[in-house]
Amino acid sequence: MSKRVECSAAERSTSLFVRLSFCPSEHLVSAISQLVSDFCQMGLRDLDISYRFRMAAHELAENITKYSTNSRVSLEVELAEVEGVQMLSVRTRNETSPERLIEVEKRLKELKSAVDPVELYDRMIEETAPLEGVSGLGLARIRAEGGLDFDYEITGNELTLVVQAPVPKPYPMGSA
Amino acid sequence: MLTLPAIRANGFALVPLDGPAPAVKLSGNADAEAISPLDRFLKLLHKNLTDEGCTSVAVDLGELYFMNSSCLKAFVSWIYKVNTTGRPYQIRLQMNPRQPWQRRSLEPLKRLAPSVVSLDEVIDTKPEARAAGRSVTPGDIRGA
Repeated sequence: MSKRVECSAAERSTSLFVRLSFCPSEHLVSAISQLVSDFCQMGLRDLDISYRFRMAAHELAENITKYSTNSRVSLEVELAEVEGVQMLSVRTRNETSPERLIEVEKRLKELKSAVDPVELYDRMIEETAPLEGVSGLGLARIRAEGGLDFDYEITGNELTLVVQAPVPKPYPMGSA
Repeated sequence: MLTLPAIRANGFALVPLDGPAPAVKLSGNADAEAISPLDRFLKLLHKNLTDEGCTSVAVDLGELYFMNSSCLKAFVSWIYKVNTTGRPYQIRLQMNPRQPWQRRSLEPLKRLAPSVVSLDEVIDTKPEARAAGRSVTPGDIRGA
């Protein structure tokens, strides 16, 4: 299964871009999500958007830390104009086990096709409520609570996951 | 009066509050390091409240700046337990209106058990910021 998650250069004009390559570590997750929040706040000056993307980056970075099978991981944040619309996106890449890929693809398909992501999130909360241990709610939370769209690509054992949303036009750099 | 030990971890604190009604305060960033202490604390809190026959507990989140999905799941498990064991007490989640993420994150908990959970907005817990008339900054989100 493979899905295209890139746009051609002709279709996008990037305003801000950050790429982090790092060894998966629980201790880095909060620092990464804070950096994403600061990046969003610097470019857009909107606390609500900054929080939504901070939460998404945090959940994605935690997943990378939990499930990566090697140290080749990255997280990118991009603010770009795509086909006339300003889009903010967070993209993660990591390799994981075939079993995890099957599980995460099933979850991503369910989230992408959900007519009502909030209803799906509520149902997942009800289903996991009696269970002890891992929440399994992170991706659904990004979709429902963050209001962000998903896209993904699986190539071999590598998962590329993109969460994104349209945002207002960014502030010019250096303006007060 | 709650007889629970306060927990202070790296960037996160859980503290029982003094007062006539049972209340606890969560502050800081509830991320991976907070999951186990939070889970243990909520289980102890439940036992404490049921042993004492309490009818409600307030949870002050005014200075909580972030909560990951695993910590949210700890709340889900706690609320589920209260909701499925006779609803012995009400849970009043007290949010900070200056942090709009809290309502979005906590609304699903109310929908899980509307007869157990209420969401209340509380007065700003950082009066110096309000007096200065400044808006929330990324530093406020971080809790620095």
